[in-house]
Amino acid sequence: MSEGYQFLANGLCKGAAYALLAVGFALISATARVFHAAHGAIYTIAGCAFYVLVVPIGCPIILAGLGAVLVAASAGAAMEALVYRPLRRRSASTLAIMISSVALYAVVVNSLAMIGGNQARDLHLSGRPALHLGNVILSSSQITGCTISLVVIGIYWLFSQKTRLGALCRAVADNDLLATSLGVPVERVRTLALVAGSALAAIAAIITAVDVGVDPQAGFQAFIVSAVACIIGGVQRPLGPVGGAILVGVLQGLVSWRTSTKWESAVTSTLLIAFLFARPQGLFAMTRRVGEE
Amino acid sequence: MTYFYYLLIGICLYAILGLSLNLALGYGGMVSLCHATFYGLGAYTSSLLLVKYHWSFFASAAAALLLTLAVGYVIAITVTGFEGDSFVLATLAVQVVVNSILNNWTSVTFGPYGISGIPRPTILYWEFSSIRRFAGLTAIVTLLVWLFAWRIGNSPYGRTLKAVRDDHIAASSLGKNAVDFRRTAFAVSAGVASIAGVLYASYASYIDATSFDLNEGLFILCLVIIGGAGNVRGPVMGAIVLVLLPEALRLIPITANVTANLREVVYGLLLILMLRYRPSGISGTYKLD
Repeated sequence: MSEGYQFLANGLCKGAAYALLAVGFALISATARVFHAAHGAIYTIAGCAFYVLVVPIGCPIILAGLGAVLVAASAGAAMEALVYRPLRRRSASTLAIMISSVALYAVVVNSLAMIGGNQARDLHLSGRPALHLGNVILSSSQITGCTISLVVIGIYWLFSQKTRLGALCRAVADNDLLATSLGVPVERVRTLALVAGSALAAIAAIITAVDVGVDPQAGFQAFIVSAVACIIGGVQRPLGPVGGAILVGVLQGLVSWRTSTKWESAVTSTLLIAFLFARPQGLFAMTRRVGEE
Repeated sequence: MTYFYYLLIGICLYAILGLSLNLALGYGGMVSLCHATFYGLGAYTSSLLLVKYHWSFFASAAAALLLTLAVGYVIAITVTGFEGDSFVLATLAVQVVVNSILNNWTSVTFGPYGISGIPRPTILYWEFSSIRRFAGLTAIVTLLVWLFAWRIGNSPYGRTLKAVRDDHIAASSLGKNAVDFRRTAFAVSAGVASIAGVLYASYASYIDATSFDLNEGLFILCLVIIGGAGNVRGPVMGAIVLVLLPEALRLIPITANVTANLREVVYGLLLILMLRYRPSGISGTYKLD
């Protein structure tokens, strides 16, 4: 049972990174009205940028982190400008946009693999003192990751609920036509949502890179986890995806403990189908009038 | 001459896969990202029966078809209740789950080691081990699948299915059970995909789960969207174009280990461009817009 606590702790730490991914995904999905499968591609871009900045170029970690966030945010803005906005102008269905997003993911990830190769790489950054809580060991990179995640999510919550820009984002997410008629620059807000969401994904990628390294194929799992977390937690409350993400992390820890890590993605995906079936509005949904959906 | 047969077999296999997805997407309006798993289920079932239990080719092929039909129907029951985006997401989840089972259930499927030594077919007393004969067999099977898809498209069932695709509420108001039509179409589409799997397994003589991952599913989707959905010409056109295109890429001097990635980039770009500028594909009648 004591190893169970270790898996639980690892799962919670993974959940912290997933929370950033999920919140970014929810922001993009609601504001830009795209099912952003390429969120996984942004995650991969950030991881690769961070790796390139740290290993061959030798930047200090914080600068490399900022650089990776910048690269990812620009990539998000480029996706919006080059792919999503033209499709939206053509009044394409959400289905066409979603498939374009999946194709975009394939294009980006394979382009990166063409340049850098398909194998996962370690950054050799760990090895600093760890924290012992009873029988559970938490590495310093895990603790740093959880702290960063907490702080960033807190900042995001403040931004979303307390600032004017955050209110604009929520307005566009709620009813973009009405927002346009009130003078909100909807296209710019959508680009901002993609930039912010991509930045959040980048931070998640950096946290994971420092902990376990960079894997070009991990982007797809990142997308699936974001989608599952949003569906489980629900996107109605601003921190719903965070709850969903932590649950996914814990569940993955449970699966690893009881069976093996190789079944993690299958269990996460089964959970996705189950929730789509039984409770698509998520666990933390608020009750609403029928007309408000 | 062997090169020609190799291209012909590739085009035929992907024509079958394209026609299968067309049943679900072009006629039924269901965008499925999990057809690679039905392809894989057909391949794995027939391979295991041929290699482990030494069944005859015809019996293993029939068993693979029936099993995939059943699994396809079960998945259809779960998944066809969803609308639009949720449907695609659910099929994506199915893709991950089934591929994971094929790759990780090592005691049954040999997991990452794959299945090797899959024999070429022997039907009645004819042996199809030479590539010329195998190409002939594949071409005949493809023709039969094409006729089947064509007959479905022009039958009362097909017309009702297309009506459900275009406006399922109107179809329901006329007394047609939309969900029922979708389920059967999805299940049959899964069965047809498994036929391609059976042929592929005997052709390649070795399979593992990586041949049936999301990239393959995206490629099948490319066949139908780029070639065109809603009729039997489109998927075949798509198969011809998308199989011959990498052959043209061979002329570009790049190292061998990036060709797979480059192919994916080209297919992805083609898909994005098609959805942006010509959603009906090369010769399709159903627009995915």
